[in-house]
Amino acid sequence: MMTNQNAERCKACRNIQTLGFTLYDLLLFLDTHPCDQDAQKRYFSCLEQYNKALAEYAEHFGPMNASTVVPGCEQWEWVCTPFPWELGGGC
Amino acid sequence: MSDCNQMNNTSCGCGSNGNGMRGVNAGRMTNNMGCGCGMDDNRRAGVMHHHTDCDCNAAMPCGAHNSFGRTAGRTDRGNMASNQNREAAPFARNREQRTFSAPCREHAHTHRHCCHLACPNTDDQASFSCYSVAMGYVPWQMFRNVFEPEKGFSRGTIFQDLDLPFLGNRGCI
Repeated sequence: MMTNQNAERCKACRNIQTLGFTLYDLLLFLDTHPCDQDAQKRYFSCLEQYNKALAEYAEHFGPMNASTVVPGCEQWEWVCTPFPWELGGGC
Repeated sequence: MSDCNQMNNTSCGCGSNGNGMRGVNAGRMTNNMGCGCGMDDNRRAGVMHHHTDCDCNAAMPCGAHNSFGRTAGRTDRGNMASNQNREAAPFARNREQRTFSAPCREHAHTHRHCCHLACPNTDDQASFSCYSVAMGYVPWQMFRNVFEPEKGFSRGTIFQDLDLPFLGNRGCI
């Protein structure tokens, strides 16, 4: 049975996935359309949302990747929190 | 305003998409070869022109071309005045001087009814007469009709224009 916290974590994880996917698709478009200003605006706007989502996830559930580890913890959280394929990790 | 507008032809697929590439890459394919569109005239850059000057019967487009990078059959490059006086146009040579790679050919379709599904109609050669044969062309994608992240993630693309149906059988639409 999924706990509330797990449900929240999955929702946050899904948000990161959708934003990350959008970023990659925009990146592919910009590779062939380097001068497209609309696409660039959309990319940077999405990047801002993505980084914000990563930071929020790291704050509540632990780091999504090594670059979002919150400093100041007693132990290195990246290796001490479950990886996605471990029990308690992933969605 | 995009240069690749729908006049009587589709976009040539070159870099003339009105997104800042006009001056540098107008009329050029991404491999830096001419695409045969009106690249010297910014107003018409990106638009293929109707092929009329190849000594062929208009009802039977010849598919002839002088060379890739030049306008097939005729050229509408440069100013409008040259279009009105074809003999004065830069590439309007007489029959002996033209270097067509193939004579006018019969209008042949041997595979039109190859499948029971509705395959693309290739009978209308007039719209594609400026394109060299045996070459692949890809229409230029525009930044439009972008899905929201959740929708794009579930469809596999954020671009609605690329969200095409999967038929799973032979691919004829």
